[in-house]
Amino acid sequence: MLAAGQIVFVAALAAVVAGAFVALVRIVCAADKRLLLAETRGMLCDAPDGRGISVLCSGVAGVEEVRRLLDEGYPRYEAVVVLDSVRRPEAFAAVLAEFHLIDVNYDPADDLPAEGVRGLYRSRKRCYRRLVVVDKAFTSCRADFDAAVGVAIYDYVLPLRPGIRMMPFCIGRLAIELSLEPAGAVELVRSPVGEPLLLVAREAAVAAGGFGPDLVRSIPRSRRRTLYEPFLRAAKPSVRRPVLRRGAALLLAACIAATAAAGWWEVCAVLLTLAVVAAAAEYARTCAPEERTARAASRKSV
Amino acid sequence: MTRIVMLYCAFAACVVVLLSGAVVVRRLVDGRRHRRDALLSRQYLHIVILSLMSETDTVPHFPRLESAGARMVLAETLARLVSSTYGLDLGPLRRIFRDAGLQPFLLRCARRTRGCRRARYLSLLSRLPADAAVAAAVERYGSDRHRAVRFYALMVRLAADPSMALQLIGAYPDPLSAFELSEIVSMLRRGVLPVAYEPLIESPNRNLRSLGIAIVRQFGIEEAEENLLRIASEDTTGELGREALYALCALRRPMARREVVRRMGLMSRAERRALLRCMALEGYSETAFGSPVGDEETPYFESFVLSYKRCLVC
Repeated sequence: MLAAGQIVFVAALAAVVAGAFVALVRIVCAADKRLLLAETRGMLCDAPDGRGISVLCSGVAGVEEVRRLLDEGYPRYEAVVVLDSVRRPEAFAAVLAEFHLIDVNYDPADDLPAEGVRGLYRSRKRCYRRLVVVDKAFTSCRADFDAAVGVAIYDYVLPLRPGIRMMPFCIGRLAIELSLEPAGAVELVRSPVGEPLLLVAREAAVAAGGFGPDLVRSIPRSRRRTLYEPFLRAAKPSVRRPVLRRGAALLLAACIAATAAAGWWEVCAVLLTLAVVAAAAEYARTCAPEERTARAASRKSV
Repeated sequence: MTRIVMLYCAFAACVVVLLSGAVVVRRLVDGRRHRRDALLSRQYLHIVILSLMSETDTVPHFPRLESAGARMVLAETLARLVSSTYGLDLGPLRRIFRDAGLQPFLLRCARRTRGCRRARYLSLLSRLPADAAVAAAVERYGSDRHRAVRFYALMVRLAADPSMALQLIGAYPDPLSAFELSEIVSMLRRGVLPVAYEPLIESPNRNLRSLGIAIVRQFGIEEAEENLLRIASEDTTGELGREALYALCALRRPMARREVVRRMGLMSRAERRALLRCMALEGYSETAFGSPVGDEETPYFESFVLSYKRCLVC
């Protein structure tokens, strides 16, 4: 390889390593901030500025999952669950019975047109007042979320895909993050750590025409915030994932040793860069206490 | 030129070894520390509660206090106890706090760290029964680069000398966010800050006015309705006017007043709709405000109000 080419090659790999370290520093700083905010109680009891979060759920598995959604302490919070009573009549009937739901007037706001909505349900019991169920023919998760936005009452919406759960302190932490800035200053909060999170201002989602591919692009950069903490996780984390990770690490180490022994230094450099990124990701994983709790919980459930 | 690549490989290999070692050490240390801290925390809480219930002045003995991290566990346990209770007798806690040397320990930790870690130590200090000398020790953090450090330095000074609350909050350089207001109000709810709402809500200072509105809303002081209407009409575009409207909504006061209507007319469409949704949530009826904000918003408001009802007769 030409000298200039090698220098560019090494510089590119060094940039990847630098990027991994920048991400690692951000994750460590975010863990410190989360630890600080986890001990505050004022915001979680009060919601002083009225900002609330509506969680939009498409395709819940059943009653237990709905109960888990309602297990949130933040006062300004609601769960909007979209279910198809024709496709899943048993689950629908079970949720209706368990939470004492009755059908209420459904006259959607002119925000987002929603097709296939058969009805809207709320609970007669005050303890379940934060649950809203939309009976809608399922076409896609995006259509479910768009229908849910029409009945969501709070200023921020958090779509949850099937098989995704909120981690403890998710809503509280997001509410605190929103309350750190003036009203209207933040329209999008996302986190690439764990399962990807996308919390959107309701009006921004409506202005973008729903949860389409242009949603993020339509929001000005100055109104986007990126957090480096885990908020969501898979409902059934794979038990084999740690084993696969260890296997991949051993395979990578063997490949690095083999390429170094064979004198293929360019390939060795690429593999070592991958190893740096993987090691940084593993270190970042140790910084997230909820990850540890979730892993312990999944080990117990297995 | 292969040497450049070989040097890079050597560098990357060292980084991988260091990071992997750090992961292993952290997992081992964190696991053991987490278990030990959980056990110590339960023990210390038990000892503190027994001390509060006994009527003697002797300071209880805390096992393993000299071990690494144990003082931090004790500080966190005391802070959590104080945050979750009201009307605690601070005498025994103050004796424990002094005897365990927690004040110099936390100040030392704050000095050696930065950013959110420093803010956390100050946050703990603000909830613990520190003496008045701590206010002077944290004054230098009032000009820290990190906003959380500046705010929790203020909280420490408020806790150390509540009589200076109005002056300290008035002199705070940043506009208080909703989160910061809620922290101050929670201190007030614990009985630490003896402030009344009238001097706050009439103050020309923005932070004090914000705090006054938060107190009115938190404690449901309906007598402050005229003050809120005045703020809504005077602050036509800023945050205070908006907060006053939300406070009126939380108090479930009539929203068809001239001042409310005028202020809502100056809001953006998104802000107005957010307020309308809040009104629907608080239980206002469709006739809450006639048609002050234009006929286009009335159907929007009605759609949310009606979604809480069910037609029994078609």
